[in-house]
Amino acid sequence: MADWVIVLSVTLGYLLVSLLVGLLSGRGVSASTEGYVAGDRSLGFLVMYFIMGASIFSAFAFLGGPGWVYSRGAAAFYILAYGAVGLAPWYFFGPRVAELGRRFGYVTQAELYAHRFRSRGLSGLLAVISLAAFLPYLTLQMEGAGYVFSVVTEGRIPAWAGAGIAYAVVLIYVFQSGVMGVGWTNAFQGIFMMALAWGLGLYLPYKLYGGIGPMFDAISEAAPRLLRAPGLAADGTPWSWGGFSSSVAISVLGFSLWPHYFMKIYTARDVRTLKKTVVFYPTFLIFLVPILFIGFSGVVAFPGVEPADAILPTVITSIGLPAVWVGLFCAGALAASMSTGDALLHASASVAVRDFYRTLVRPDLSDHGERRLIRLLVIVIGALAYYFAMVSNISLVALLLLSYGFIAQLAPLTLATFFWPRATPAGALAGLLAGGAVTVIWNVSPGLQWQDIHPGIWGVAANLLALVAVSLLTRPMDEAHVREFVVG
Amino acid sequence: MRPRFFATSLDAAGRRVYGGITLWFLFVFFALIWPVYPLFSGDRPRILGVPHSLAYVVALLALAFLALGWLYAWEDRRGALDADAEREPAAPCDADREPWAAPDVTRDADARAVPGTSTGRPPG
Repeated sequence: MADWVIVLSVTLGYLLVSLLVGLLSGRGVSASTEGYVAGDRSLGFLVMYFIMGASIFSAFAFLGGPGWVYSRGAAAFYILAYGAVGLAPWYFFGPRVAELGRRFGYVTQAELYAHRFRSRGLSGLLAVISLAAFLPYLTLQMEGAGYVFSVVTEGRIPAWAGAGIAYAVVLIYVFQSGVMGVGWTNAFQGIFMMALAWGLGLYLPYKLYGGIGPMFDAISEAAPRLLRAPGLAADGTPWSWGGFSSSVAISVLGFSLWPHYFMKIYTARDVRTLKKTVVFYPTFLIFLVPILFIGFSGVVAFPGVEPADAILPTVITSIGLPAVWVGLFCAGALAASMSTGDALLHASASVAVRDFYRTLVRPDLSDHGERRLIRLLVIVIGALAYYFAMVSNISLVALLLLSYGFIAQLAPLTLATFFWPRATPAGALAGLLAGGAVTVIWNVSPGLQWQDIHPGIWGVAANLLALVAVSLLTRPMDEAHVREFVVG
Repeated sequence: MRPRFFATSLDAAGRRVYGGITLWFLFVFFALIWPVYPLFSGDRPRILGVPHSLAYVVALLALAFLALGWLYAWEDRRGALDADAEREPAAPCDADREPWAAPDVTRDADARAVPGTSTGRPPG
């Protein structure tokens, strides 16, 4: 049997198992919006752990991570750095969010802020920001899936068909099972990814260099700057500490506030489950260490690979691995893509209907109608992302980088929601608009750059100023209402 | 109305613990950026064959994990995790169709008094 047939068979086997797990997992929840979007708030520790871990480790981490290490060395350590503290805020505000979610029936992030500030406009604005951040992210996951299929089958399955097959599976189980499908497939995909990452991450240095230490010795001689933080910039020159530090800072601010992660707070069974998930999250993060080793393993053994993101498939297909192992790698990369893509797809549709359509257009929408519309939008948004991934030429990476700056703008709003009773609706809106505007302006104006500081940092500063100033200039909200939200 | 950083219901030990953990995470965060990380950003000394710049980040990640793990165990010993759970019954949601509207405090109070009864499922 030809190698590519074996590879394809293993990959299709993985997809079939994912589909079965996804379809079977949705049977235990109610046929309501709360069941579809928040799993009836019933998820236990195991599924929560893998939802958070696997959603975060995307195709970008699995393919882009080794690519970053290969081309930029220690610059990639920033991903580990922000992860070390990024989810910790959940430990403190997560239980409060979950409690309010149960009391008032929230299933999305914007519902909490809109209720706290009694503002429909805030809900609509957050929906737009969320969708603008989700779409490029989802599109990149699809591109990653198509790319993997194309490379490991030596072009026999083109990227458009590979992405189509993988995301048809995702669409079916998200459509059918909602967040339960996302959760249980993520558990399966997470275990698969972790096993594969550790296997490859330890095997490749031994196979190519005789061990991890000898691998770093070889790199130290050939390209020593790759091993010294903050590593290299995209153009191959040394990266600045301003760029590294501000990237860590903006990611820490935004990490726990990405709407598709934030929504998962509502799915937790109880406070114990939620807190345990946060405590154990770094154990999933350690999964990035072998991913870094994979990237480093290509530096001396496979110089000059372009684009750098191709280093992992290049190494895998060049070292004479049995076809079954190549198939497992392909399945692992698809797992990374799908476990993030499904959460994004599910969150996008939920946010579009719940925070925008129902809030601003059809407040009288029934629960049944709402659930039906969310499922319909799963298909529409999936098709839209597929179009951007395979047909459109717009620069998604630029949009994605901008979206990190936007999501960080939710940090002042979150602080104000729980810790500053004097914050007002006008202040919240002014903060978000000022922060977003400054982030965009700094992004498109290279002349304003200073020390490579991430534009989102300037946005957060402007956001805080506007939030405080406008809140103090406007009438305080009803104290009894605000006390429902403020911690203490 | 003033900003609040700790729940007013916390006792002195609680304030010490949460204050300490908050400071600890601030320490970890600042240790990962300029100007602290540059002090530990070199290739050598290697730790288990891994460059110092990477081992340092992994060590801080482990310290963050241990800190939260310790806090979780401390809260568990005090029964704080279960107390939180008892305050969080599942409540019906459809009445609050407009989340920006004023909450129905009476209904919320009823839901809190009889955990889980509103959905017919046991709480937690």
